[in-house]
Amino acid sequence: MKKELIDSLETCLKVLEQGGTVEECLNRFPAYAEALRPLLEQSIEARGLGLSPIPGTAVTVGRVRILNSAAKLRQNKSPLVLNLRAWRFAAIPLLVLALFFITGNGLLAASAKSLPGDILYPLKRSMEGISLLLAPNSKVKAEIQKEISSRRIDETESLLSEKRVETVDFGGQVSKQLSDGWTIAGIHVQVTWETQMEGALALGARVKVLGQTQLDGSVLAAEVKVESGKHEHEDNRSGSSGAGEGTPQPEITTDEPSEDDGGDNDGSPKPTNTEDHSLDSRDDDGHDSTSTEEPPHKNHVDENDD
Amino acid sequence: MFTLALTRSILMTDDPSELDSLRRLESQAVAAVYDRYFPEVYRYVRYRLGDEILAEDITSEVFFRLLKAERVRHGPSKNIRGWLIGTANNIVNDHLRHKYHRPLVQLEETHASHGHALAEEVENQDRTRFLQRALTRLTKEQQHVLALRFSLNYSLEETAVVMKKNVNAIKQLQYRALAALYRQMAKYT
Repeated sequence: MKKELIDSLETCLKVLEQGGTVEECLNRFPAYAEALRPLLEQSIEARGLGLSPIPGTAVTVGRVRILNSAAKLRQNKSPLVLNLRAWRFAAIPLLVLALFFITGNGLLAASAKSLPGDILYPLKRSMEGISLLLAPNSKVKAEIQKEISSRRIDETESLLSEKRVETVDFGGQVSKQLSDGWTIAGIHVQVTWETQMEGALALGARVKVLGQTQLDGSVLAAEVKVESGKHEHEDNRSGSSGAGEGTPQPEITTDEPSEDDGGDNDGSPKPTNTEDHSLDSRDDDGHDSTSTEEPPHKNHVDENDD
Repeated sequence: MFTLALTRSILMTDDPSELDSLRRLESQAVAAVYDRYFPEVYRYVRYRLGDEILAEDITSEVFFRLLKAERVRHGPSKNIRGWLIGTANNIVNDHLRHKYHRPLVQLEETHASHGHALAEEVENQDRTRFLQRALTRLTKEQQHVLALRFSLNYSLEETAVVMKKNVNAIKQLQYRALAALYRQMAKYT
């Protein structure tokens, strides 16, 4: 029954949109007339809500605001850093060689304290790569890798505390689900609908994150790659500074409206919930307090059931 | 015809050269994108919230976030329209979440402010206000689908693209949204 009813509703909405009347629609679907009438009448009323014209001042005032904002943001750009990013990969080997021959260990030591976005940061990453290559055995290599992973998290936390917007990558364990993302290695990671997901994200899983630090203290994820499932490894940042959580206990935050969960949205589109696929199984009156928000990354698998 | 044209535009990707110019925050590109998409974003927000001033502010915020995202190279890579509507949806949801904690304006006060207006006009205004309030009592997805279908006149296919669902799921969601809205309105009348 439901499918035909739902299809007939859509047909009728099209008829109404093209100037037809409710009665015309109902005559086409007499078996569903009783169910369709209130919905169609409600749709006419709902469509009427959006009909008033846009005030001219709204457009012009907003336009000036946006163009001013664009001008300010343009001025704040750092061309040197951006250009360096563009050719850093090609320049890294040359830079490393030059540093070895010209400056000795001075710059290398300085680069060790650099953060993503700093001029010396590519050098730091190159040196890490070299130390991994030169590791005498797999045990030492694993130790170095662990230290490097911990360093990535510390760097991200330093950038967040300095309120710098830079590209970062780090790995860690998922310890908490938030309304707009996850806590990974103690860092609030925002996941949006543009975030590229590899693997099923779940509490306790170990993941790699590539993203951008945000001024609100979070990281906006561009890519999240799940490396392993729940509790397969210990959190590799034991002993590192930062959030100091050790191995965090998984925790779920619900979508219940609260004082502290609504203001951290940066506006990037979030994935939507996967409701409404079982016609008779939920309250349609839409009271949010009864629902738990789906993980922001979750794909709408159930949509394909239709 | 209009629906077809709109469908094509939302399902197509934006011009790569314009996206590049936008990424560089060039005034001409920013102005062009703003002029093209402002009406849709504004209508969407106003439909969801029923407040013109708030709609202006939130629409500006949506575009400002687009600029910020472009600046750090995390803006939309293909479809600006989808990104803007998605962002508007998120900001509106955040706003409604905060508003949840605030007391609602009492109906009696609004009646009083229209003491000398014609009875029919007052009734219409009340009905619109009830409808707006009923809309906010639906789930966020139900509000989203009604705004896309009835405010922006998106087709099922366009709505499916923006909401990242398939067409059948949108049909069901729309059915439920209208049924829920009807039940909410029945409480007021």
